[in-house]
Amino acid sequence: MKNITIIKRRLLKKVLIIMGVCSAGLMASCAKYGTLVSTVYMNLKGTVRSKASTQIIEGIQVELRNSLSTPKALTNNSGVFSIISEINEFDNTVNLHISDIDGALNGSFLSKDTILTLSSDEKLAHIKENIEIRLQ
Amino acid sequence: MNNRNISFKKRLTLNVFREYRKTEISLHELQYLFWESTHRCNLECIHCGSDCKQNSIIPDMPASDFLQITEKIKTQYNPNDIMVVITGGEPLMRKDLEFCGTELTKQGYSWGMVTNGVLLTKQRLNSLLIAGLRSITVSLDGLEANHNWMRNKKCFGDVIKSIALLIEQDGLVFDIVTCVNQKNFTELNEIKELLINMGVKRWRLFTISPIGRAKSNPELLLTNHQLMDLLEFIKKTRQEKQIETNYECEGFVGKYEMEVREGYYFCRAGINIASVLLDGSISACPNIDIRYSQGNIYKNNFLDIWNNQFKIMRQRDWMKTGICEHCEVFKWCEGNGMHLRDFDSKNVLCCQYNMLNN
Repeated sequence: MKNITIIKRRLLKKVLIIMGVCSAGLMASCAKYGTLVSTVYMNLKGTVRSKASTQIIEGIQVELRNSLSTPKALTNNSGVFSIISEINEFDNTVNLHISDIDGALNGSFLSKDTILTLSSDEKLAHIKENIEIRLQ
Repeated sequence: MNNRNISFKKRLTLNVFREYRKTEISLHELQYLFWESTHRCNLECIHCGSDCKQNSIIPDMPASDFLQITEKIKTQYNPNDIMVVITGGEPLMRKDLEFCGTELTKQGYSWGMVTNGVLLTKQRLNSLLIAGLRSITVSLDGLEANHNWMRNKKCFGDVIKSIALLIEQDGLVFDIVTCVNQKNFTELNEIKELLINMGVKRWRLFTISPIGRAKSNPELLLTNHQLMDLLEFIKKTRQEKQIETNYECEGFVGKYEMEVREGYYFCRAGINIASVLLDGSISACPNIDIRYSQGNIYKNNFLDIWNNQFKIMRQRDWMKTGICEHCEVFKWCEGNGMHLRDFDSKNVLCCQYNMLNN
């Protein structure tokens, strides 16, 4: 029962974000007379392309690896991925692990790790967009 | 009261948010833990909700008593998921604050503190940072004359110095809170300019609840029209994007929901928020009437209380009394903040939605 509620909560969070509710608005951010919580939700959006042909690649798994969680997303048929995750407020970088998990379908590419730098403006806006990843 | 002035889209989102809130209530994961560590305070602010004094007769809670609780909480929760907030009184009155912070950090918790800023020196800030301080909130209640009036002491300069120290500090989340009242209401623009010019990134605006010392001081409470003007000011300031500005979690504000805060109104007291008060009482936010406490750390197991009590905060239908009884927005508001619920009459002491519609 608890697991179902967790899944339901996750889905409702996604729906609310689509409806325009900022992800930070879904956290127990700061209670009356409390301090700000030192974590922040970030939305990472970008595109995965072939390094050789610059063509977009579908079906690539992008995994965010940080101390709080390791959410994953697959690139769509435009090569675009979007990950929403809570990160430590003080992390100025996040690691992305990119891997080709569908074998020869959509081509074969080597896995790659990349470190993204987050500016304070991006953290305040809770979004980092236009991330470009090239796979060999 | 009706909800006609709330747009269709907002009502739709509020209904989805209501379902989301139900899941949070059902899971009631502890995410935010207050520790009312002392009642001693270097100031005697006229709006104090705790009625603190320089020489409180109630002794500070021994650090070890609280640290035992946080150690036990680790058996059920990942401490990385919980923010501990040290409050008071004035936490900087405690000489062992660095020890408490260091131990909380060792246990794996992020911790922060709420301060009036007067006692914060560079040396003290450095020692707190070494102890793992991650987040700090400082009060600034107006320009010089009004801040000093509210704080009952000439301390404006000290607070400004503290803010300047915090701005220079990397790796620390901080915000400024301002309690808006009859006196500082007209100088909000100047306060905003002051903060922006200093380099402050986050500003939280409070209205004062008719509790504690504030109950007997009408100069502290805004009129209905002033509340609306304040929300318009916050909305406009947010649109300007020069300083991240939020209205606190005081209550449901109808059409201003999502315009003056990051999210929709949701009183998480007893749902994600707990507190250990100075006498050991287990409550939610520290400014909730102490008679709503759910247990005491000296008599009960904290986790037993958290897991099995707090029903009055998780099932709020009982709050449908007085002006809430026939209110159409109760489904979204659920009786306003728990701290505004009078223990004796069970009525709400202040309803922002009602104020905005009258």
